[in-house]
Parts: sequence; C-alpha cells; structure tokens
Amino acid sequence: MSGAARPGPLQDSSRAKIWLSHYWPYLLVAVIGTCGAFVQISSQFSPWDDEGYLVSSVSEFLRGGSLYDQIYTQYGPF
Amino acid sequence: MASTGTALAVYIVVTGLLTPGHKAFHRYHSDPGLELPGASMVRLIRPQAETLQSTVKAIRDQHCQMLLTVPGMNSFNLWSGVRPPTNENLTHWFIVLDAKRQQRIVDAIRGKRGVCILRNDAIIKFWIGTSKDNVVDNRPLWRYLQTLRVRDVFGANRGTYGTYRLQIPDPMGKAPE
Repeated sequence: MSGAARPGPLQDSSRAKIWLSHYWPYLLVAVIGTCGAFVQISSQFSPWDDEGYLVSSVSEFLRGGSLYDQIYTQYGPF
Repeated sequence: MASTGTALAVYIVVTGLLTPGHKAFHRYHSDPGLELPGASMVRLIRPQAETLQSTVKAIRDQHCQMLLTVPGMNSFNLWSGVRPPTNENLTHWFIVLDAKRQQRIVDAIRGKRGVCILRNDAIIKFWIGTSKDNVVDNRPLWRYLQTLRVRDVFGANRGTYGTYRLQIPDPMGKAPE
C-alpha cells in the first residue's frame, strides 16, 4: 500500500487554474484555429479532388479490400 | 512593458484571427449547403454547388452501373453511389498508373453495359501540365478512351473549372477530341 495521498478535488481545481493561467493563449489560438480550419475545409471543393481519392480509398479499405494488392494508393512505406 | 505585450497580443489575435475568421464564418453561413451524401456540411458558392449537384443528378438519371472519371474525381462515385470500375483509383491515374493497372480497368469496362464516363478536359490539361514525362498516350486505358466512340449526355459548366461532361459509349457516337 502506498502512503502517497491522492489529490483531492480542491487540488485538482487549483492545478487546472494554474494550467489555464499559463496556457490560455495557446488554448485560445487552438480553438480559433480549429474553427478557422473547419470553415476553410468546408467552404471549398478542389476540382483535382484529392479528397475524393483518399476518402474513396478508405471506403474501399473499410469494405474489406486490402491495401496495395486490391486498393491502389500512392502513399505508403514501399 | 507587460501591458504593451498584452495589447500587442490582443491586436494580433483580433486582426490576424478574429476579423478574417468572422468574415469566413459569415460567408460559410451565407452559402448554400451541398445537398449530396456525406457533404451536407460543405458550403460552396451557388454556381459551383449547382454544377456538382446537377452532375450527380445526371449520373443517377442515366442509371450508370459503373462510373469512370477522367481524371479521377472519386467524389462523384461517392456522391452518386455508382462505383468505379476497379479499385485502381487515383486523381491523375493516366500519368501514374502503369500499363498493367490501366489494362485491368480496360478489361473491367470493355463491352460492359451501364458504363458512364465523367470527363473534365480542363482538369486533364492541368494534370498533364504537371507531368514531366510524356508517357500518357502509350498506356492502355488512355489509348482506349481516345478511340472509344461516345455520346455526350450531359454537360455542366457554371463554375470556374471547366465543363463536366457525362458520356456513354455509343457505337454511332464520336471519338473524344
């Protein structure tokens, strides 16, 4: 049995406050960046359709196709 | 000193992130959603959305059983629910797929009923412009498509990126230009 005390609720909340006071600018940028990325991604359709190719590859893989042998992909270790 | 730093940080966040973000968010909400399977959260300017939607409708109306896209535009397979001839799918397949892989696609479509071809010459030109090699003409599927007689059953060009032409093989039709 370890004698180390587990942090209580108060300690947890203090830690969260300290963490937030240090890292809030990063959190703010991450939230704004995520919203911006969502809008950017969802507001365009690239005619060369890389998305379609990749989603189609994943879809065929999920249907049971095996990579490289049955599903062509440019990307991979070999 | 600290207050100057904070003011600068606030200025950067407001001018660099919030203002353009607000404009983009406003535009996102004013554009119509793409009424296609799996793409309802995608919002495009109306002419482009209508071009894509009408193209998908044309594919469905033709009751295509296979859809070959030239170049590879597999979103149309996903949106229309019509599968490509094989799993050899790629955007610039005519440059990257070797003769063996292209031959598999030829074998899958030659003489088959219900084959539809969706073609966009502007995007083909774009891809060929990116290629350093000039091997496209010698490969089986590309060669096959040059000689295949087809009939245009649909054309949509209300966007910036050329015309989507839906074609079906037709012995009385003409070979693509």
